Amino acid sequence: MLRFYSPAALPTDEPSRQAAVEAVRLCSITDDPVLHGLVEQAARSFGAPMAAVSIIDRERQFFAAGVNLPVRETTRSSAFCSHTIFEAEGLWVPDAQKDPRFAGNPLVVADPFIRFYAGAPLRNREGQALGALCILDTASRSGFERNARDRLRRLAGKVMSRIEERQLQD
Amino acid sequence: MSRTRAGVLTGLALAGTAAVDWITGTGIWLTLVYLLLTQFAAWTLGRRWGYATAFGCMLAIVAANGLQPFHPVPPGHFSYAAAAWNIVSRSAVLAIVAAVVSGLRRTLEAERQRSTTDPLTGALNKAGFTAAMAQAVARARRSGEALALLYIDLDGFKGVNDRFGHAAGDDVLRAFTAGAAQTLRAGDVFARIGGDEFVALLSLPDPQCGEKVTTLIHERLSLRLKATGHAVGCSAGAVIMTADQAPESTGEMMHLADQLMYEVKRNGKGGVRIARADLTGSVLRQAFPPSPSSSAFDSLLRALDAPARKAA
Repeated sequence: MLRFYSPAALPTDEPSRQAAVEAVRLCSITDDPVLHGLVEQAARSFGAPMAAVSIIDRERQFFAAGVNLPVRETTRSSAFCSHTIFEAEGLWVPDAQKDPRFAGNPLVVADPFIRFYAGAPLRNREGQALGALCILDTASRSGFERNARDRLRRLAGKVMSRIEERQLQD
Repeated sequence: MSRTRAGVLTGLALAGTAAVDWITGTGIWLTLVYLLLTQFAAWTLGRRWGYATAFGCMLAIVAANGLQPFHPVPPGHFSYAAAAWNIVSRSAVLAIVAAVVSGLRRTLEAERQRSTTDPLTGALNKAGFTAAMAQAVARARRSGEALALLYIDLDGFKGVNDRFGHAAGDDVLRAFTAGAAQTLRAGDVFARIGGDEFVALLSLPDPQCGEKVTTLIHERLSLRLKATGHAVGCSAGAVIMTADQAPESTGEMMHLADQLMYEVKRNGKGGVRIARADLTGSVLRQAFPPSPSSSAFDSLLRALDAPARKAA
């Protein structure tokens, strides 16, 4: 069978969501050492070879911080995190090859060959999702249990706080 | 054959025939040759050039043979009026041939157009698609471009027909086709292959563009449908492939379109499904069995009836 994937749709609040993204000066958070530390903590805490702070900006997914990522940005349509921004609780995909939304995704069938994904949205005070904090693995996992999801969400909260802090500085 | 080339050939043939006519003298008639080249001109260049060629042939015959053969009577009895009548009636024969031949060509072209066009929307129909598709694949192979085969069906179309009548449904189809004409480019192929089902074959500079092109087309066409004021949207599926992966035969290409159709219908309304065959290998190696066994057909029916999948 051909392997398909679904590019994420645009959320209904996309214009205001994108405005919120543009309000963040991406240069202020790119390669920020605190964000980098949080991402490394996420990778360690969940035993994941890859992790990222991802911002969904117009047509692209941009990694403000990352661990072992082969690229700095991807298209929005192939980004797992562009699905995560719809989810209040976050998104977890135990085996991308078996998930019809992602089975044919270029990031799954080619480098970096993602099998497992877990992401928690980064929401600002107005509730808009700028992107997500995510962890990735090239091996599938059987699940992502409740307390792991909570831990990831708490870390995402810290990431968002740092992003907001950086906007007030400079 | 280009019109220029046909015109040049006609001119050369006319000059050559006139020369031969002059050399062979008044005893040999080359009417048959003049007739054939008038037919050729009318077929390739149309009615008016056919008439012009007929006129040119008559001038050539008179130049090569003189007026005498047009009223072959003993000296002193020659009548210009009689010769003129004979020249005119001979010209008329050539002109009639030109008219019939060019008319035949026009009719055949119109018939070919009609048999490959969907009368309601003006888009290609299935027969037109299979013909144009072969050319598009050959072009992509020559230029090394990638291809995207799209399948699109309208969501909620039946509701429009049921509630507002077929005239409203027809308007939606025409608006959709107009939207496609604006969004696609000249070399792209677009066809209506079912009641509310469409396919398109696009060439791409490289496979990576396929994702963006597909989502853009889906977005534009969804907006165009929304603008009709009816509750109708569209779902799309696409296969992105290198030119080498593209199916050789039209049967295989339509088979691929069927796979897209199953995938789109299974996925629920308003969605987009993309397969990067350039990343996953041969398109045909992964094909659905051509004649599904009853168990495969049963599971397909179950999949079509299943509610849309929610997030894990």
